[in-house]
Amino acid sequence: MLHRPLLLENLRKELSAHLRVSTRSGPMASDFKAFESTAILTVHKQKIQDLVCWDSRLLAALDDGTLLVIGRQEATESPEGRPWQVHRILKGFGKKYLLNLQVVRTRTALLSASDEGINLHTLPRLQLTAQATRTRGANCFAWDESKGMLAAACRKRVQLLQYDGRDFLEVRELGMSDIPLTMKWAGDSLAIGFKRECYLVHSISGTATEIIATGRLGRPHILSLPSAELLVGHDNVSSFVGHDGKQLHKKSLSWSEPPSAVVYTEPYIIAQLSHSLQARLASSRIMAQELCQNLDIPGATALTVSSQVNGSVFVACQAGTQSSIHHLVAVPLDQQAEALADLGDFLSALELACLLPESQAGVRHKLEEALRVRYGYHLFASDDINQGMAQIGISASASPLVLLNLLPSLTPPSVLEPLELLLEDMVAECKLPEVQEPTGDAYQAAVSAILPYLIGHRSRLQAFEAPGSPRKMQSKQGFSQFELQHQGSADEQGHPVISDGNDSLTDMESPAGSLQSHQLSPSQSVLQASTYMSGMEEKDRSHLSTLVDTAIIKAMLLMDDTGSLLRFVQRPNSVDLAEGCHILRSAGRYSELVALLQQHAQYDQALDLLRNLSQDPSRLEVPPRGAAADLKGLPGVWSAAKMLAAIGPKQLDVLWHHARWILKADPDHGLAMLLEMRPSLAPEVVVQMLNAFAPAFCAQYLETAMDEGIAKEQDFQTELAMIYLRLALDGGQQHPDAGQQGSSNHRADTPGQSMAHQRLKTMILTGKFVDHGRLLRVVPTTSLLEIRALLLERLGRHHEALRIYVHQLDSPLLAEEYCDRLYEAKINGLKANLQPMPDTWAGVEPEASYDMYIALMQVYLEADSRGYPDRSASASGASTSQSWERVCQLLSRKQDRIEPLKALSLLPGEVPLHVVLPFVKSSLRTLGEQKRTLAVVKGLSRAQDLESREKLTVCKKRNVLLSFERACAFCHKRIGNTAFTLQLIHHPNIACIGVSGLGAHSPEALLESYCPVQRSMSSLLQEGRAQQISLWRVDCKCSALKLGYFCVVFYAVEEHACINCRQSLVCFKSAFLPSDHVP
Amino acid sequence: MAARKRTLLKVIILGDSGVGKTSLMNQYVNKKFSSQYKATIGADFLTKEVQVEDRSVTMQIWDTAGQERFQSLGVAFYRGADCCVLVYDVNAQKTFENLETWRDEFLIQANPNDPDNFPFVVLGNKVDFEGGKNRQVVEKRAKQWCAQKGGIPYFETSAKEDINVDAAFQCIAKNALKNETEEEMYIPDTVDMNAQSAPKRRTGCC
Repeated sequence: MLHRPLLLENLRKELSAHLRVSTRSGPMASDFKAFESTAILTVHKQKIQDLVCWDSRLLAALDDGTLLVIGRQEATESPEGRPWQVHRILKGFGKKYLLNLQVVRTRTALLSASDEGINLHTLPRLQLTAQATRTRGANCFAWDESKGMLAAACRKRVQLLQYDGRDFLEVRELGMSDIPLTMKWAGDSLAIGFKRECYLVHSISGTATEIIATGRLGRPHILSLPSAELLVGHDNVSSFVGHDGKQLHKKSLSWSEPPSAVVYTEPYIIAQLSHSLQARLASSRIMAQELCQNLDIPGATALTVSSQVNGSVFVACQAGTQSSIHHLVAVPLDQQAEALADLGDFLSALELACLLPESQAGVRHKLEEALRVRYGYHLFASDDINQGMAQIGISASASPLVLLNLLPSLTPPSVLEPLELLLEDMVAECKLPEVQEPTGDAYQAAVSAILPYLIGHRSRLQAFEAPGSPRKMQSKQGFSQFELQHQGSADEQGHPVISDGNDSLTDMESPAGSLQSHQLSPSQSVLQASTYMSGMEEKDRSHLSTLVDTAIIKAMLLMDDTGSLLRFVQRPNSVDLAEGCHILRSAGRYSELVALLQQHAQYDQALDLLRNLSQDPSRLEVPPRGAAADLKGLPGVWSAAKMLAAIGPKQLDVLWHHARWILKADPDHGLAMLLEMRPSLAPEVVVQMLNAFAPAFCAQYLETAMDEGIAKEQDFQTELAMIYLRLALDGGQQHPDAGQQGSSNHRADTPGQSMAHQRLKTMILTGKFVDHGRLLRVVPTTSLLEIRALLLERLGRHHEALRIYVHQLDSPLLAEEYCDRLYEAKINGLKANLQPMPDTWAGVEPEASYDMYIALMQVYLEADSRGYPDRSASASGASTSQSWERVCQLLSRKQDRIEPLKALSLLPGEVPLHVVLPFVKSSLRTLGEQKRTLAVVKGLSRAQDLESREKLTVCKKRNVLLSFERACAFCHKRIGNTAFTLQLIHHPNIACIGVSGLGAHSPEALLESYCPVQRSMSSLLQEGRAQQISLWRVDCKCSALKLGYFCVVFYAVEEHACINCRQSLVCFKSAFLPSDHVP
Repeated sequence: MAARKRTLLKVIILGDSGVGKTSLMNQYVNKKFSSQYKATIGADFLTKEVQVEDRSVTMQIWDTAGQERFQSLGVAFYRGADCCVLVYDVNAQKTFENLETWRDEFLIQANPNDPDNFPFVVLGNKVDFEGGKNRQVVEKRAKQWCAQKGGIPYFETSAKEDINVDAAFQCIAKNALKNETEEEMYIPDTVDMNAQSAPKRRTGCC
């Protein structure tokens, strides 16, 4: 049963050794030194049976019973370097032999087992003070210092003796089945090793429990460990056993041969073997069996741990006839760890580092971090790339430089250059080896493994730089973080230790709902503090960001294209622009390149590239790959348009540069781009641009821009009209045969032109801000007559407009409609009593509009006198009669709108009467009708007037009396008969005030207006004006009104109201007035 | 020289944006919670030593961004994972429904050797929210789903109140380790059919 697992282990070992053959290239861990050994003393001939340390001295028991007291020589300069010497030789300390020694520290005494039994001697004088009875021939003993209990094994019994300070008193005797070979106290029990097994025997009850079956080889050994554990040896294996006899760990230590004795000096257990000493870690954290030092000290007979010199061990050995004592000094743990790391055993090194005491936390942390990185490098070099990265990742102080150093091809030299010193420092500090960059598949794997870590570092760098991140806390926090990590790791239960060094301020803008906003925000990525950042200068950090980001794009390029690279460069990044461009360009990843350039505000370059991609991809040196392959043709244009729209108007030169090809390639998107820009682009610029590159889209732009309010109508309506005009004209030029034929022929034009024509018409008719004069100057005289007529109409040049309708367009119908339109507009305007006509109608004089028909007549008649090019002169007679006819038709149709006398006077004498007769007749009839109608209206008005007057009279009949019982409206004081005095005053303009409403004036104003008059009142009265209306001042001493009240007295109507409160206050008929006041 | 057992476990946390992935991690490791939400940019990881069945292992927990625009980085992150933690918000039905997508996505991207037995753990987070009044996914339903998917362990957690967080991560570590152990056991099994089920501690020496 014992051998099968071993066999399995061997097989496994072989297998894994085979798998990892390349990993262990350095010397084996057996070369590792936990202790340095020096021979300090040679004793001739005798064998040293036992050795103990007391104070700074060594006590050695020789097999002939002699006790040696060994110490350092005195009176030499350096205390450490002093050689050791034998101070005293006590022959016959034991009569025949001495077996074991033990120092009783609390009583500074020495217990020794000799042929005489177990004796107690004082120290340092070595005088016998007590003897344990019945212990003669004891072959081993165990001393429990806390209880003062001695257990001595003599043959098949164990004697328990209590030491009371003077003597040993027998307590109990326990019978054994075999002779105990070794014995240790374990609580109340004794662990006793026999030849074939170990038992735990309770010291009171005597019950025995088997701990473990020891083997057939050698002596058993039992070691009491400070952690209330026993290390029990059986054959060549030592197991950890609790005081209850149960095996504690599944693990055990195995030695190359059964040890004859073991000692513990933290953290090692040293076993005494026949040809050497072996030191192994006693750590119970994880298996550390491999960690073993063989100390070549053959024939060891005794070993003891120094209580003074920390951790050092003294060994006695016998070689031939000569015995010697060696001093083993522990190498400091950190040095051991370093040495192990140098040997390539990083796990052991890390374990040792963990064992560094809390007092050396700083050293431990630093060591551990460096070891992780070294281990990572080591694993990486051994093709265990993922594990390697993970190890480096655990180290909080490892900057991305350390990672990237493994894959130098990811870091362009120019980007790395500013950080090279830092890297060198780091390499030197962690003693990082040169690692060959992997090739082929391994390289691919390495890149894909490094990428997440780079992104992780990136997140941390960003979080560190982000506002509100605990940058200032970082140094402190770094420490607490590492503590956290390591306390956590030391904690057996895996319970993390709460650290409160993390509280820090976060954004002040945190939502009000956040209950614990004082705490660290979860995503600030100081989850695992990367301590390297706080130690770096800001400049270096930014270099580092650049390096990381550049490496990320290089790494992503090497991976399958999942679109992540594109997304990466589309977001804000610190990629080195020159390098990034070079890398992406040479990979043909133009889409990513464009995004990168855009992200770095290199719009011109980005757009140039897009132009090449969309218009002429064959000119690119490297064929487009990835998303860029789809950018040929329109998609490229769309991308460019989108980019320009996003850039907005701040980069006008770039816009000017690229608008041309975009507008050319896809005017619709180009136009949308110009319209979508926010803040919107100045319409002047757009119009200029469109006029230059895509004139056909100018109108469309302006229409949309005005609709959306980007362009103001007052600024661009004329511009738009001009554009319509141009468009309409372009059609005219393209179809010369249609051009001269007037408006009807335009219908046959291309849809664009007819649309432009229509829009121009609408614009002229309805546009509020069209500059008609300007348009008129550019409208040709030969084409677009209708437009011209419209313009003239809007300018109020009706004669000219009518001429065009009548003579050039030969369309009396239109001319008449024109007149009707104007007439009705005018009439409607008057009727509705609207505001003055719209601005554009301002040129139309009111009289002229009434006489539009007269004007039309004049135009008709002009044809005779002047003749027009399109009228044949020979047919003048016919035309004359024709125009008369027209005039008369007009007259009869519109007789109600034409002033007959004016019309008649216009008609030339040769017009036959019969032609005019119908008009005259109907005119007379109409006039008579009008006269009668007006008479009726007049009568009605008069009746209305009278009615109104009557109503007014009724209304004015109100008559309020002021009696002495009434109170003042303001001070509520009864007016009484003495409360006020009346003063008759007179105002020259009193009639005016009275009519326009006295209440509208403030008392002050009124006073000012009458006061000057008051002085000349009598003269006014004499003039007789006072008989009509008088103004009264009512002085009621009201404090609210300094000036008192004013009342107006109409002699005729007798109505008075306080001008302030409107309450009728006083009504004095003249008869009431005291006579002395009446003039 | 015997090879030692690997002591590093890679764990991936997945789930919709805002379900509390980062908070859970932060609570587990730093015992800290902030209700202020900040979307994770890209990804980050954290390591923690855990004791699992007498073994000390280092757990490397990768917290990825739940927002879609970062997801295409998935392959790089998922590779070599030992356990995948799926997180949803019990107060948001949609985040539960998306678990399926996250699981599939993970299996496709990570491409583990034995997808049927790859260890997942599902966490229903934010159970404390408003005393559970607005809860949209009942525990039974979540458990049903987990059972359908081959008995995925399920935990109801609250990163804010630190409910069940330790237990969940302990289970995560255990399952991750199980996954790893099974892989390693493959080699000795071919050599010795009597190999004990518990991995034998290596006792070889130099």
